[in-house]
Amino acid sequence: MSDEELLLKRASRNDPAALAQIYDTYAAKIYNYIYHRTGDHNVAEDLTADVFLRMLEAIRKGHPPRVSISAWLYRIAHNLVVDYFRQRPGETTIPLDERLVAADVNVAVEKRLARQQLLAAISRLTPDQQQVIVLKFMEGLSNAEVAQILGKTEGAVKALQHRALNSLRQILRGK
Amino acid sequence: MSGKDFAAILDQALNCLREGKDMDTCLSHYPEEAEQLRPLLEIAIRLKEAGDTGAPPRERLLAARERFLRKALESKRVARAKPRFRWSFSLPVPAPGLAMALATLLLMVLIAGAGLVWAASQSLPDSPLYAVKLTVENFKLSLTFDPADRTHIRIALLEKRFEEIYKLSTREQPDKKTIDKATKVLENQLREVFGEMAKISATSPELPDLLEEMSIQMEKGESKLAEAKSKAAPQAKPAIDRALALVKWGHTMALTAIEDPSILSEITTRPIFLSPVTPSPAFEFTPSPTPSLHHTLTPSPTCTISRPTVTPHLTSTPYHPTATFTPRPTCTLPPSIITPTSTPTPHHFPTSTPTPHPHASPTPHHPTPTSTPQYPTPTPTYTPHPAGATPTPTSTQPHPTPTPTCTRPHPTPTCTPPHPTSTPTPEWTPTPTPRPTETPEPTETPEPTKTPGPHSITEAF
Repeated sequence: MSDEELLLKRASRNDPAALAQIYDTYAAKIYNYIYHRTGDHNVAEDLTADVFLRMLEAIRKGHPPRVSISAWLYRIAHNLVVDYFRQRPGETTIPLDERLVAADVNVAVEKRLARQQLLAAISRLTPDQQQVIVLKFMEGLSNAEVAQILGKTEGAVKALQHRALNSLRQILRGK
Repeated sequence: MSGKDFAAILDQALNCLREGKDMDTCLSHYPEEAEQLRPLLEIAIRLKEAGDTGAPPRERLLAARERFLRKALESKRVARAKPRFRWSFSLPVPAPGLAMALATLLLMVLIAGAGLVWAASQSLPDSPLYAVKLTVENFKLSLTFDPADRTHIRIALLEKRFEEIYKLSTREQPDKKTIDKATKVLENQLREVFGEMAKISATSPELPDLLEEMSIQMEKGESKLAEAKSKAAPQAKPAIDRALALVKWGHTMALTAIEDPSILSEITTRPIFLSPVTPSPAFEFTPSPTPSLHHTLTPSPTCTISRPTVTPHLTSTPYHPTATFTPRPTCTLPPSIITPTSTPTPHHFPTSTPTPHPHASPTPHHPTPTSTPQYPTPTPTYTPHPAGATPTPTSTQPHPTPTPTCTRPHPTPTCTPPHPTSTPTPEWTPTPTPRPTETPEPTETPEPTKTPGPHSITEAF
């Protein structure tokens, strides 16, 4: 039995130590993922908390993750992000921070602006494309991991990343 | 080139970048596609840089972590409150025709049996259906093979036993024997729970959880039975006390086993409770030998545990001990505490003839005579010492001392020895010499009313 399986078994028995270990291992990753999808630290904080509470709820109902904890958590995070934007029809894309645009140009601000532009561009992709971009290029997951989270084959992930990069290029070129 | 092929080449080029190689090196592997690949690889590099945001602000996750863990603990409590029954078995799938026949048969059995099983599930130990109830429970257990799962079920079943004792106790006319019978069933099942736990490896992470679950269940049992006792008719209370003692014992064992799981195997082999229905020598308090402080003239027991305070009246009335002092030795009482001596060592030689008329006022552990009695003879059999004086045994005879041999399961202090009702009632018959005008005749020697025989722990309640 792998470490993760063991951890999962303990977590499914509501072992607080195991649950704390899961939180400590994945909370930062999930936070970053949500932040890269929403571009808002407050939203990332709230939704990260929701992800882990949903995990607890699932365990309590006897539906713990069966395969991979990370895939399971990213999937919950994705669903929450989709719900978040669905509830705010006017906020489907990440707005550029006007303060950054107007600010004096220095390296730090330039970097932040570049990131902000990139996040804004990502937010205009389809949900699947957003996921593959964030998970693969920003979070550094492998094709297999992304495939597991998205519930697709690795071949589909390769095709998806191709389309996503092309779309992103067009969006960025149009700016 | 098809889109599929290009997607594969793009993926290989991206992997090349991930390996830390520079873009030109990666593109050199695909000269024909290099122009098409370059802008996409550039975006990939930008994305990677944008993703390197580092760890999120610590304070943002700390508060959420606390909330999460608090919620996790709540979930754990909820999960414990509703133990799950999981059946881990599977049956071979029969052919369709046979399946239909089996299904019909099963349906008939179910319809006929469901009523019986339901009625049995509501039964109490004095019902003929109670055996069916226990059989159904055992059947469910027999379908579960994992010791941890079985233990979960067994712990949950204990709640039914508490409920049964509660119902029996709170009847208008409670029957002591039926409550004892229910307690016996509870005792057996407690033993089975610990036995099941003993099968689980001591290093298993499940064991502490199960023991904690057991401890919580015992706590619930204690409060349930305490409630029963508060509502029960007086005649049922001793029987409820026995059940309560058993549950407290189980609680202590669970808590002790959390610290030291090795005691689990010991618990299962050790008799844990002496039911009044079928007394066994376990858990007995056996005073041996029977205390007999029935010495006339000699010897005078110098009991440091209990001695009546002697308040002599200098009259010529013979001594009449009026008190029946009842010492209450406990399990931890060293047997040497009560050590009568055979040869009296009088500390005081009376110089006058009045007969002491001590008022034997029992003052346990505080032998403080208010005055020194004056005996008519120089050989008093019992010499009260001044307050604070230490009796000095001069020799040792066969000790008429209650030697509590209290065997009880570790470490529950539920063993309270019985009360040797009249044991050390020191009495003596003074032989006055010279006689005063009114000769003090020891009229009667109060006998110890009863020699306590072996008592069960249950009688302590």
